[in-house]
Amino acid sequence: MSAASVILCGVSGQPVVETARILAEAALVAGLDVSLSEAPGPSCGRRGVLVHVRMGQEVRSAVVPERSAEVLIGFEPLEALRAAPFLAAGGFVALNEQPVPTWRMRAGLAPLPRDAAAQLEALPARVVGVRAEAMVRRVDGAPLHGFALLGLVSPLLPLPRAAFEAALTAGAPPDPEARRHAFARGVQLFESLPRWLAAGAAHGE
Amino acid sequence: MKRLATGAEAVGRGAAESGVSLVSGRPASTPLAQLLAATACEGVRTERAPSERIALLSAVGASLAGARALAVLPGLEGAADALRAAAAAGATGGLVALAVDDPGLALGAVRSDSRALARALELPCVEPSDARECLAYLAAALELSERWSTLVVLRVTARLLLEARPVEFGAPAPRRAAGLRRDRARRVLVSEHGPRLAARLQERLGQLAAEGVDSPLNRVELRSRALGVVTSGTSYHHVREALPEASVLKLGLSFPLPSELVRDFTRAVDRVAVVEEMEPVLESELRAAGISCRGKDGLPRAGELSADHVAWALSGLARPARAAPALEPRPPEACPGCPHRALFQALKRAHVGVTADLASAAAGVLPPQAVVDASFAPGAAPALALGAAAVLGARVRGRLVALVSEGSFLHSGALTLAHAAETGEGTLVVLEDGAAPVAGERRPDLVQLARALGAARVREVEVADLAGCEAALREELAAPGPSVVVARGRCPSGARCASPSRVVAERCNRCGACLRIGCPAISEDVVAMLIDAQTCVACGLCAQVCRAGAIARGEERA
Repeated sequence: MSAASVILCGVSGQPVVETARILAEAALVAGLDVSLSEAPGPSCGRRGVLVHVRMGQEVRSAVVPERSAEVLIGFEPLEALRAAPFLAAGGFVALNEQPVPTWRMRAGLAPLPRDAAAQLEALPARVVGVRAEAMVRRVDGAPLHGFALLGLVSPLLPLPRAAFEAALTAGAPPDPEARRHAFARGVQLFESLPRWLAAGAAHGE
Repeated sequence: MKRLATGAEAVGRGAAESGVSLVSGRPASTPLAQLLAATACEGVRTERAPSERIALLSAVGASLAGARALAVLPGLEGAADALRAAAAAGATGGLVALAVDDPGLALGAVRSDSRALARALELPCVEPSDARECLAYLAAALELSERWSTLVVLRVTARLLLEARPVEFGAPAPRRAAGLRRDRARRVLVSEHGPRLAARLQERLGQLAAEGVDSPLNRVELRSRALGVVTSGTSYHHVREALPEASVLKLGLSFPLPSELVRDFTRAVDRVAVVEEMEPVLESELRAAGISCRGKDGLPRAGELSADHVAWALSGLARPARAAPALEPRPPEACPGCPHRALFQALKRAHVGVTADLASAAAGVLPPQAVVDASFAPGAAPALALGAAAVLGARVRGRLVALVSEGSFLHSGALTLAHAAETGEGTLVVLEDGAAPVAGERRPDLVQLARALGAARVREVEVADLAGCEAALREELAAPGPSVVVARGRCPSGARCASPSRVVAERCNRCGACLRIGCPAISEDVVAMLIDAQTCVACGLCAQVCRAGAIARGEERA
């Protein structure tokens, strides 16, 4: 089996790396080889964040080759478009549609990426756009939408639900129940998708 | 048990497992800060050094004392003279210098290849290719260092330090330092001792090249005869991904080049290619040894390498023609409520030239604030300003400000201040930029330090106070003699507030002054500017720059 590849992208401040880490931990729990590769960048301020996660019997390069990621988790539409070259034709995109505007967008010098979902669909890709922050309630300000997006793509990955559950609550987080709930919301959403969108589920049906 | 660990965590753990007593490094970027944090373990002492030289020389001192030591350097060039001396003197306790390269230019505009520098400094170079090897190769490098009494360079990239894989963790194994033993012929670097030290260095490199032939760090993987790839570091995994059938010579100890091993490998295959990131270092060495090979004719020198590049260059796959849509770039920008924004606004209003060394380029460097005119290396800003003032004199008096982060000031900027105090004038702003001190870390009092170095005037300002920063700059630029402004206020990361600011639409004249402070919470809307209540932390800077008085403190958020 070749490696399954997932791209996670967004803007610093969003829980991109944290979500990727949980995905990679889940693969480790499931007994797979796994890699997580984060693009380096300055430590301070807001910037784009891009993380590659690969899992399988043996993972070689930690960097996903172009057009070979089955799944893309976009925390922000502009960054999702930037990561699109990594997506395989017909790949699945979980897209948080709330943009984080750049300075030029805020000043009206550049348009907001409003048609990101349509652009991704044209690749072609199967896109599920959500307002992820609104989907799950925040507890004491800690963002939970990463868990919901992870739940949304989880049936497409070669990992059992139990591996995700173990990774979600590993290290005794303060809010295990909220995490599980957010993840379950994502899984529910996947199960409610029309069949053509949800094709390729590893553990479903 | 296997754990998911990044390269940085694996190196930190490796230090504890192989009995390193001292880790000293300059935490110049996130991966390096993570590495130093990961060394926290009983028996390991971690020092955060202000400069690369100090980081390296502390480690050399620990090695002289018979302990194992690891220096963590953002690059080798900042400690080149000390490294050269250490190459000649050799090591007693195991001594490794970890150097982080940045092929993707993610951390700065300048890149240098530590493999090439290690060769110039005549230091053996060990290259791990993933997190597992980060742990194992550190142990191997320490043993190599002790066996051949030499400093060893452990070369990694920024991405490798951030890359996580399952790593087998062992138990920490603290070691006692053997103690100081006198060996003046090796440790006193005077010209009388030079010829013997130079001869010993050459002899050692020859022995290491011979050792490399049998070393487990260098591995021949024979598969197909058609193509043999010589590679090292992370490129190994890209080769395995793109060319699973190719034979591979993986060089973990890449310098000195084990020529015999390379020659044997090239005889066993029909065609030879070198796959390496950055400069054609291995390729040049192979060519110099009379081995013909492919290399940078198909692979890029710039940027990070991936399996795709290897496939396009060597498997005959054509690079797909892509009509990549032009996407809006996302340059890094300061967070809402960043206290430094007010200081940069004050510098902008002062209409001065600014040289700067900042720990972060987020605020003040890029548009819309963009006040920095020259930014080079750590500690450079005061010297750049001094040099410009030396030739322009009165033409720039009161019109040039040097801005240094606390880290750059302690790195070397302070030495320029001492020098400038004898002769010159000028205004230096020291900014509490970068990471806050970790528990147990002590930093000097910047005000006392500036006075002791001979600054004629020293004052403190609150960096988030626009009016205070403007007044301080105005007065210090007009005053004679060198003056120092210490700008206080660190990153209030994660700050949230209950009552965000809001725009009173009837008063807003859409002049755009608030937009130009570059706050992520402020955007242009149809009738007036708009403050995003979710993003705003109510720092109040926008209200201070609004001449129409259209920005008010909002109501309590529900």
